Amino acid sequence: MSTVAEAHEFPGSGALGNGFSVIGKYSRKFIHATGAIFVFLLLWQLAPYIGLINPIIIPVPTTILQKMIQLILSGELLTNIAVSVGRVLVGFFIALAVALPLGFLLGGWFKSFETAVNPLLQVVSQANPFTLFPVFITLLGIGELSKISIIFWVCQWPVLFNTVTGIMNVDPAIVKMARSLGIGKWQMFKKVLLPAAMPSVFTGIRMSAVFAFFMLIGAEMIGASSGLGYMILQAQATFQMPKMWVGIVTVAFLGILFNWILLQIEKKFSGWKEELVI
Amino acid sequence: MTKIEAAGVTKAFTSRGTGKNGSNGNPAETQALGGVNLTIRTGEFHVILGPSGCGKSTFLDLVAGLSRPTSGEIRIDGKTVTGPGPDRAVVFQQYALLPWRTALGNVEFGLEEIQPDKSERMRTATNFLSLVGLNGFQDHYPHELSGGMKQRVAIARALALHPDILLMDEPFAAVDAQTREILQQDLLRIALATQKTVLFITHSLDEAVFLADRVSVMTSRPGTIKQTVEVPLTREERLDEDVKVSDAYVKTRHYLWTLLKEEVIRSQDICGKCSVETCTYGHRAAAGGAHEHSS
Repeated sequence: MSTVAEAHEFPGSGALGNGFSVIGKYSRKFIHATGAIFVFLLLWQLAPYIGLINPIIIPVPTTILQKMIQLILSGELLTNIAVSVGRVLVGFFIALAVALPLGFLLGGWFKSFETAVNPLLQVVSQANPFTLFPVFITLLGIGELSKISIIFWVCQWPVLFNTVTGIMNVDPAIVKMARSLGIGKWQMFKKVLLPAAMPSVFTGIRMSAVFAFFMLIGAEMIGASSGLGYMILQAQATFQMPKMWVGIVTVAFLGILFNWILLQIEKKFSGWKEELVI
Repeated sequence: MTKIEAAGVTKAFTSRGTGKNGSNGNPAETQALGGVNLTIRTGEFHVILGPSGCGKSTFLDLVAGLSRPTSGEIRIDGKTVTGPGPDRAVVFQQYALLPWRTALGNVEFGLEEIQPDKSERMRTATNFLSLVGLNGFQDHYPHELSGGMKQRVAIARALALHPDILLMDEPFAAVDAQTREILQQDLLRIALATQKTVLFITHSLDEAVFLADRVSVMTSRPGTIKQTVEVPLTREERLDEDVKVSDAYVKTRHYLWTLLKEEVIRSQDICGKCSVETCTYGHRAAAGGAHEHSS
């Protein structure tokens, strides 16, 4: 362990001793990874003093943090997070449950059907989901159903298209090899097609997670009485700028967290991939 | 004793879309094999040598049971081939390893159907990895292995199935020249030790002479067997360093080249005398490649 750490040290810093050099290495890594964020926050904090921004419209980070703590303690923030995350998860998982099997079917077994419907799917998927809001509200009302439906709608496309692509781009040599072993259709799916398509499928899943958050906030701003989007819009309407910013920051953090969780799952499934070095 | 027998095997492909050979938009039919008759003996190392695009790989696919002949039939131990079977294992040019599995996992892949016990399967796979000289590489993923090592894994995967017949489709074409020499020697040693019947496809003369008990030279498309040539070398002689300068080796190689040369020329549509596509005398190569060289 210590020898490995030493090997990466700069000459001269070894004099600090092994224990320190390990700590030094990690703190340097930490500074390297988060330095830009700290500099940004510092500039933001100082900006009102030099007249760059109006703290009434854009409060400084410490004000936002203060408000955030207050909203957490009152329970308002957590309630809204729970409502919003609930909507995202339900819409997202329904999209996975529909688009994954459909993608595998279209890409694997009904290729000529896929060729036939692909142009239609492309056109339909290109319809801007915000423009479809009125349609969803007219059809499904203003309740939970229309919000979850619209999240489902935006989430299914990336998953569907990437799953189809993933299955279609499986290395034919591998499929031929598996056929030469005489394995059955189900085994072929489970052991060859599914793992081979995984990287592409996960690209789709992560894209749809990003879309889910976009649409969630949009949906909650248009017609809702709870959730983070509602909270942001309400705060803006009543000119509670710090509260509005708490909402904005929270949504950003939730997006990062969601993406991080998906990345960890992806690593489990496709950790075999060669790391790209450019 | 006859192991593999091909009787009048033909194979035609219909290519979709408009063919470029003036096919009026009708599906163009390509005759890949034009009646292959071939007998391969039990325990023989049989090499099929032919110019590229002559249908060698098509023939191997038919023996493997991956596709069906248009007419004629292939028999193994007297039984007609109708599909893939555990008596045959294929080694492909492109390695065809599963990138999400380790070397060990790849060897185990083929065994999963026939050896349900996990620890037993792992033992078999480990044994075969060490047989091909990959001790200590069990846990490496394909992208961490060199081309030669990947093909060793693929050979281990094939051998682990205990097939009677090993079908090899230009297995060393994608590895570098030095590695190829070593792999050829190792393959010969393994084939000798395991007593397999091997059907090996190549376009390399040296590979054919070095490995084969008998070489069948294939004609250009539509492929048929032009001639089958016995290589007068024992396996012990081949593993000797000097075999490639021995009289038997050089003479067989030269003879095979004379057989192959015509087919290469014909398949590439070039003039045999001046070796250019449009010969210096201004004669366009006639259909089939042979053109008059009168002036």
